[in-house]
Amino acid sequence: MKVGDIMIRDISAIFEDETVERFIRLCANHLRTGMPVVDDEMRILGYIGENDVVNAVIPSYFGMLQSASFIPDTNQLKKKLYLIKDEPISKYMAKSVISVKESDTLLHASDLLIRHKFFSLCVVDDEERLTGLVNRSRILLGVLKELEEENE
Amino acid sequence: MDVLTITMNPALDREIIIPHFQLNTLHRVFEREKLISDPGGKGINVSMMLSKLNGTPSIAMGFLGGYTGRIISEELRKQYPNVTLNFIHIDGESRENLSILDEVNHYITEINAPGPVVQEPDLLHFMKLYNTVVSRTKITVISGSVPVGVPLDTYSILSEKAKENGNKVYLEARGQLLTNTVKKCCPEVVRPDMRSTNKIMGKEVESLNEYIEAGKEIISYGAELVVISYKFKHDLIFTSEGAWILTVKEGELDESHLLGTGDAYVAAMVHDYLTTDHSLLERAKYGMAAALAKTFYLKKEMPPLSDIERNLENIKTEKLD
Repeated sequence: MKVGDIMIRDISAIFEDETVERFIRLCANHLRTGMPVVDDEMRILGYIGENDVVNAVIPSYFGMLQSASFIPDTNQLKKKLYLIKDEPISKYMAKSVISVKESDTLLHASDLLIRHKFFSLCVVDDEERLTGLVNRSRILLGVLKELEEENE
Repeated sequence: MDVLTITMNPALDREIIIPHFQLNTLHRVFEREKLISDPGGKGINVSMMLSKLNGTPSIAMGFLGGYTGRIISEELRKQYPNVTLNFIHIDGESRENLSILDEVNHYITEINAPGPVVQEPDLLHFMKLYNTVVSRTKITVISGSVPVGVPLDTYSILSEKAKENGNKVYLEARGQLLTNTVKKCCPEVVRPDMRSTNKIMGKEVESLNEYIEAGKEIISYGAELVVISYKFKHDLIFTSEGAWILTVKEGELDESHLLGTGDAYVAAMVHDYLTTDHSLLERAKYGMAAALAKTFYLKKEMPPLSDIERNLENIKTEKLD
């Protein structure tokens, strides 16, 4: 089984000059945790996840704490979000994106997901243009199907 | 990817089959198969039908909203894995179309809910995405109505961009949207949607001559092929070479089976364009055969290729004037 057999053919994407606010609204409506950032030929320039925005609005040391009860003042968060909401997402996106091809094996995709601690990967064609996504549960589903086929 | 379909105002089509449907009565439906929920909207229908016909992949674009919108995208993803989704998820709820089909009395009762309101940033985002996608395709199918917030000249802008990128544009629309698009940037193939109107290009059509005038007017704006449904059993075909009337030779058409015939028509013409070098008249005939084959099925579904071939023989072609 190949990535192309189990991928989600959804090429929803965002452009790098869109604002942080636009990104938050799109994710909320689409129930997504992040989106590929593309150029005007659908080539992937980066990936922006909700974590990138969260990290930008809370002080970096909070990542090391176990609880948010230490946040001295929630207004601080509001103020920070207000400051960055109109900024382009290119400022906060991850610029190096690891993608897979439709012809890649599930093993290769799972290896990348595990090694880089990602939940999903972008799938691209030979010209590096976005054709969809693949995530952990789709890969597991693919493996289950392979198991069923072997047992038949 | 050869085909791009545009559905600005998608819907969740819910079909309920109730024999002897009556007003003011409680109807219980016991079989799950008689309650159908399917993604809909004319462009999406074409994508789904192409996928069913011979697995032709396509990209579907437009706006989806809210819970209904998420059901539409989830169902598309589950049932039609070779339709690539490129929808913008906006605030508000997508439309829901309810059809009650009564096979015994041959009635179809339809209730259509309104769609969401599209805001300017969403429309701008759509246009930008559209430009990136249309450079990769060969045919753009623009079909159906537009939601509130989308200006009436939008289809002509889409048509222009598609043509700039060497796409053939197939349009199915009605009213002001049709008139505007034909006048400003006429698509190659135009099929006026006659389901709830008797007007084409702003004029009422009743007699055969009025229909012919309307078809010729659209050709005069630069269309290669115009297809107009005429009194159920006929289709009027116009090209720069003349006009024809296609007639169903035998058999009665069941009015409760008309759901999705127009989309089957367009999907078949797209399939014919991609796989043959048929003349425009033959292409239209192929579309009509698909629509005819569709009327043998109650539900909105694409008839198999063999059914389309068989129905080609049931169509009589006559040249007009």
